[in-house]
Amino acid sequence: MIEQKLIEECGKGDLSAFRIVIREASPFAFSVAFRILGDQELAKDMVQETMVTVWQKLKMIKSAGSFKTWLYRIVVNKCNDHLRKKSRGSEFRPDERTWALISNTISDQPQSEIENAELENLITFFVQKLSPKQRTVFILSEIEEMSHDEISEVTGISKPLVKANLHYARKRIAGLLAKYF
Amino acid sequence: MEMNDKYKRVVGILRSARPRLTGIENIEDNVIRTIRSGVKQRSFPDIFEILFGWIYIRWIRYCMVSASLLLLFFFIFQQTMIIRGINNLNERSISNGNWKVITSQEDFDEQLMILKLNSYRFSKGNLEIPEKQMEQLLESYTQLQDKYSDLVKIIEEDPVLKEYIEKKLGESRKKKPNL
Repeated sequence: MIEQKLIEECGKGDLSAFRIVIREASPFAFSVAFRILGDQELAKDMVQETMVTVWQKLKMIKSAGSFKTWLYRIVVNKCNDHLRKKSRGSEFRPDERTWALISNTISDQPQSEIENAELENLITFFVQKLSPKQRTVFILSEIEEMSHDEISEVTGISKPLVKANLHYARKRIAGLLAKYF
Repeated sequence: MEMNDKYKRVVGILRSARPRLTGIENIEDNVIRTIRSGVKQRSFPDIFEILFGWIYIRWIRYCMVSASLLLLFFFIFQQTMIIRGINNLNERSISNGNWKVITSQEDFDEQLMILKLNSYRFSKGNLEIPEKQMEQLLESYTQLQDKYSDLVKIIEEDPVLKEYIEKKLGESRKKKPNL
């Protein structure tokens, strides 16, 4: 994804090289942030903050191979910080239209492409009952398809705790499905 | 549809529905603007990270928590031992070579009574005098010494009185039987 040469150029202070890094890395960062936060605009803010941090610490990166994991770590930490700061909001209660959309989405019907706004509702609905840790582990494991080792490296949570959090996340989502569908 | 199938479908949908990032140019411009406004690259972690960066290393964090708990237990243990030691010291006997004083507040009056009944003959280890009483005794002794020195001074200064006392002392010595 990101080449070593590009990282070295950015390390020398080359902003045009960093523009390429932003273009390459932002979609990944946005994807994780959006799925964790369930909010498009907030996810964009997180991407911006992440990219500034990436610029600040790019010189400390040893190899391009570890860039993606490092990027994930920064995004996840920023999102978790935000979730921790945010006071517990009221329960997400979908309106009729949103409810129909969620029901259709999980029905047997073949799915058409989902818009960001619809995806926001879906994510918010399914992860609303999860703690920040469970949410992060669930997103990284089930959606981003990371291994337990990678998740442990990104989040700083031990492997057994990753497994435990994932177990509880699955259980809660299954509980939601059983309750409403 | 089985619950497991429903779960798999939800996960499948969330996995396949990749969020689309729109307005990447805005993000790019905002980031570059922020960087140009004075964000500096760092070759080394800042002082905060050097001092407190270790808290993000899991095993160090666990070790520090364990160490703090151990220190806490050690502190409690030490305090208990000190208190026990102080209590033990309160009970410890003070010996002046001839007789023994056991500093215990209890039964002091009773011990004093026994002492009187025994015609002021006290055997080693049997007399118990509380520490406070010992302090009072020493204080009275010092006061008595001061008064005695004052008395001697008065007698020295008055020749008539001195002569009278010497005479009386001489008489009392003559009266004293030889043992």
